[in-house]
Amino acid sequence: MIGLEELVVRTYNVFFGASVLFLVAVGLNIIYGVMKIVNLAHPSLFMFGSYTVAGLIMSAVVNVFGSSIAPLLLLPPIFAAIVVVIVSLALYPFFQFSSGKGDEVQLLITYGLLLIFEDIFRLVWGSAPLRASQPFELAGIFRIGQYIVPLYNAYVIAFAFGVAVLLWYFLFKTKLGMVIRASSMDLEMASALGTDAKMVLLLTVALAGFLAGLGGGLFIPSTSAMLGMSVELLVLAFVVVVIGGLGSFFGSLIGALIVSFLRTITLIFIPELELALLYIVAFAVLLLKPEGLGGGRKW
Amino acid sequence: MVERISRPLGDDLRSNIVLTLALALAYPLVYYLSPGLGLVMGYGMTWVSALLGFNLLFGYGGLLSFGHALFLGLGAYTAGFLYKYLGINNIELHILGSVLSSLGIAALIGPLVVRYTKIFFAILMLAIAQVFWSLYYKFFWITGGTDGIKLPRFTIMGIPLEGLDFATYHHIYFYYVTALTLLLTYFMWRLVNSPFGLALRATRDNEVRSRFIGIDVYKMRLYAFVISAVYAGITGALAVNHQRLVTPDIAYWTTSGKVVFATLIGGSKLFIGPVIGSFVFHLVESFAMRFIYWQLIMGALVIIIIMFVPGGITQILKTPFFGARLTRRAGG
Repeated sequence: MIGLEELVVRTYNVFFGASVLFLVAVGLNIIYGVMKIVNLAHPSLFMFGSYTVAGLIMSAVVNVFGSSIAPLLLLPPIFAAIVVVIVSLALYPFFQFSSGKGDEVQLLITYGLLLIFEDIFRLVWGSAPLRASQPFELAGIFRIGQYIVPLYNAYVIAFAFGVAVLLWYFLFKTKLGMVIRASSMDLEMASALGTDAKMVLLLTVALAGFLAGLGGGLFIPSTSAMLGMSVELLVLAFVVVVIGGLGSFFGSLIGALIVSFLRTITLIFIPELELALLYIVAFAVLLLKPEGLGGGRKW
Repeated sequence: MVERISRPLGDDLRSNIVLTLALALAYPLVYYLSPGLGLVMGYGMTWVSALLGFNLLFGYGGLLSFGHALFLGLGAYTAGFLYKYLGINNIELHILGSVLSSLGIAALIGPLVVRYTKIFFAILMLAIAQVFWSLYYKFFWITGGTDGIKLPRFTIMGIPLEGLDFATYHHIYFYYVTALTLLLTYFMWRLVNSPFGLALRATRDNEVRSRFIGIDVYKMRLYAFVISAVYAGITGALAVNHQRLVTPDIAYWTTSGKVVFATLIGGSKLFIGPVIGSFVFHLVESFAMRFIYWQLIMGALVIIIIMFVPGGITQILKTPFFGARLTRRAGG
């Protein structure tokens, strides 16, 4: 029987997992929405953010600001986001090449990028797990009954929620957001109406990179960066995207919550079948509601 | 037949068999000069089956699977379990077992996955393969986990090979696999040129028109999927008998990547592509592996091939210079 305290702790973990998955999946969806590219290297960009924080930024921030908590919480994700935006823009020629070509072209090119990233991590940061736990330790813990819960995870949840709200505002309430959504529906028409198509594409790539870097930098203090995590995230993010609906902003929210919930449940009862169950659910959604549970809306 | 089809060199059975036999003839010399390179050739021959299978799905059916490690893993663990739990090290039974297990699983998941094409198919396959990998990895009390299952030398039709020296054993393995590969190549050739193969190509080129002329697209894809799985399963069972160890590595996503990559190097447009791809890939890999950043090399090569030589090595066979002189008439 699950007591109230355990329920609270588990719910807390569900939201933490969902925050991380949302930050991965939303960028994947934005790139797909506008460029119609499924970027297999997107989780690698996320991990690029994590690695730059763990291998470089965190210690630099600690050197400058010591152990004051605010800069440690805020600066690493922002710097990581800037770095990853630059990296994403450098990859733009590859995205542009694969956009509009056959699906196997974009899958293989982004797959090649994924392989390259994996070895760049190994080359630059080595194959040992890398930690950046200073803010995690500084934030401390709180207790729920007999359970000890890290406070940093609450910050991740709040941050991801903030990102979701700002992103929603940007996409749905600003002119630029409207231009992006319009271009995703009909790029030719949008450019006929005076939109600079190339600018929109560059902006999309930069936005997806920004979200990936931010997420990666935010996520890393509560775990350690390891090789192979990009693929794990890719496999999970894909379930999120399938369940929520490909290319949908709300879908990434709903999908992330469902996936995180399912993972937590299976990890309690049958940990061996964690991935298996997730994919059974993804299958069920594909079969019964191929447009995803996001209601099949475009955004 | 009335019509005569002109095919470029390499898109026929004969050049395929000639190449395979030439490699088989060269094997003792290569092994004599460098046993290490001989082993690499052994892997090259072993993988031809999986690549032929993959190419049936990708080159002829237009379905890109990122999860063929699933079937290699099934073949591998079928062989492993047959030995671990039943004490069977007869290679015919290993092959038969892997055919049955990959057939069974493919028949089970095929009806679900072939409804999807493109990205959904690719990633669903990646996902299912990862699920199986996680099972091999997590149920370590059954599978041996990362330590794996060690295999003894196999027996051929019950004849034990324990007393032989390494070189003889490797030669027996290589020629056994070569014979099997020739057989599988012949079947695949018949298959891709049968009405089924032509219908499959039609579904790749234009799904809607194929439906119009009465092709059951779903059924064609399902058959291709199952056959492709069996071919990959056979490679799985053979490969673990080559390295005599079954570990979850063979079911990991990187193996799927290698399948895709080897096929691309060879070229998926011509029938001979997978044979060339398998040998060239293992040669490149054996050199790249010395450099620990081999994924970097592989990734860069994938991108370069896709952007500049989408037809792989066999594209060169189709260029006007070669094509004009070497185009051969087949059929008739």
